[in-house]
Amino acid sequence: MKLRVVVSGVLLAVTGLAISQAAPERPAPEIVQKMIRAFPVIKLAGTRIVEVREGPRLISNREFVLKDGRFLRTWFPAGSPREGEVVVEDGRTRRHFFPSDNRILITQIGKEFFGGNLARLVRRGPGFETKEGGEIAGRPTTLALMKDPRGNVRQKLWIDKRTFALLKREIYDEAGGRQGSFEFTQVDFSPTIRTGDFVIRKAGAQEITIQDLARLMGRQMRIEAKVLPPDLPDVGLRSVRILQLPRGQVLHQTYETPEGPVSLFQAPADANDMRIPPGAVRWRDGKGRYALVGPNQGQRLQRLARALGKPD
Amino acid sequence: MNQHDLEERLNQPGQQAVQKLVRELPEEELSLAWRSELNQKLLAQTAQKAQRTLWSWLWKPTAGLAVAGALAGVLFLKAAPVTGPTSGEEAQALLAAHEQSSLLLSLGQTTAPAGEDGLPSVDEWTQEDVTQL
Repeated sequence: MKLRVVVSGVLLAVTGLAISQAAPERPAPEIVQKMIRAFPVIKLAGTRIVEVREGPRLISNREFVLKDGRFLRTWFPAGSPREGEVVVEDGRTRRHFFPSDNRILITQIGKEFFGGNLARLVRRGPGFETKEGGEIAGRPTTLALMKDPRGNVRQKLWIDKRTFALLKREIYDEAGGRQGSFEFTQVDFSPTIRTGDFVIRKAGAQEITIQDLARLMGRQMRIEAKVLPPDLPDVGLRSVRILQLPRGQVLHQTYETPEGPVSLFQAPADANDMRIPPGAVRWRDGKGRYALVGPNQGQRLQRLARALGKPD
Repeated sequence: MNQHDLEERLNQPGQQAVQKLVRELPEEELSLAWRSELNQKLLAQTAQKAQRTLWSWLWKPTAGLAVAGALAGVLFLKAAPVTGPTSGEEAQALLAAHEQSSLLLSLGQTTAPAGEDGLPSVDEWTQEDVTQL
């Protein structure tokens, strides 16, 4: 009888704990909410340094940014490895000009921005701590620390106290290593903006959509690339590349979804099945071996897999 | 019928013959083998009952914990993932590639060009190639 009482107690405790976990999350600090609300209307011109850790390499770029609400222009200074590249966005489409090819890559974009998907992260309800952030680009800031449920700092956000612009952001991995960051070194919140600042005009430039780029890469790999249609609601292809793995080449596409980025990996049909990380989905058909990696809230991965032709 | 009549009837030759017949019937004693067999059956039944009780104590709490675990799983994990083979260098490589792309998106970057310049690592192509896709 005692054991049954204990079991019932455990059951109740687990249920209670689960319910408390499912309870509404704490709202983000006011300054973070203001930053998200300010983004679609904010106007600025500035210079920022973007750093990305890619394996052992730290890739650093200096960028010029001009922003007017949802319109954005990014270009690179002389001497930069990306000199001559220009990226413009109008809130729906990103056009990326590559001077060496005289080609323009066209990508449909969602609500992400160079503050990057913060609204989604905030909805997810991480723990926050705010404190004085000191000066960034000569502007007084508030520092918001975004923590995971275990209390590890996963992101640091420096937010301008007056305009609520995000002036610096650092992203950390689970072990506390800095994986990427950007920081404005100079910013002007009253920039002069001219007609045509958010347009690329390059005579003779060839245009290619990112979906076509994926298909071209597939053809290079001698596979027929599976690509989700561009009109799929809430899902958009954001990047594509060919990975070199020990098994050989794998086509890697990254899609933005409301739950976060999802990666689609495709290997040739005659290859072995892919080894996938926990929580991923895989399948195969006559044209390839596939794996989907990413958040699976609302059965997102399964739905995408079905849209890509995975049998039930 | 009084006592005298009753004794007189019992002493009649017919009654005496029946009495003698009954007395001469063999008196059977309970066989030891039969008793032993009975004991064995009783013992087996008692052991089975004890075993059932033990199982009952084992599986009922286990089932309770399983239900609790399942409930926790349903409540904690909003969607159960479909899993395949895990571990291994390839799984790690896929995860690292995914995280790298997610990071770039978070910083407002598209995938970094794999080549020195130009569009990411595509062999030479023309607009005609694109229209033929």
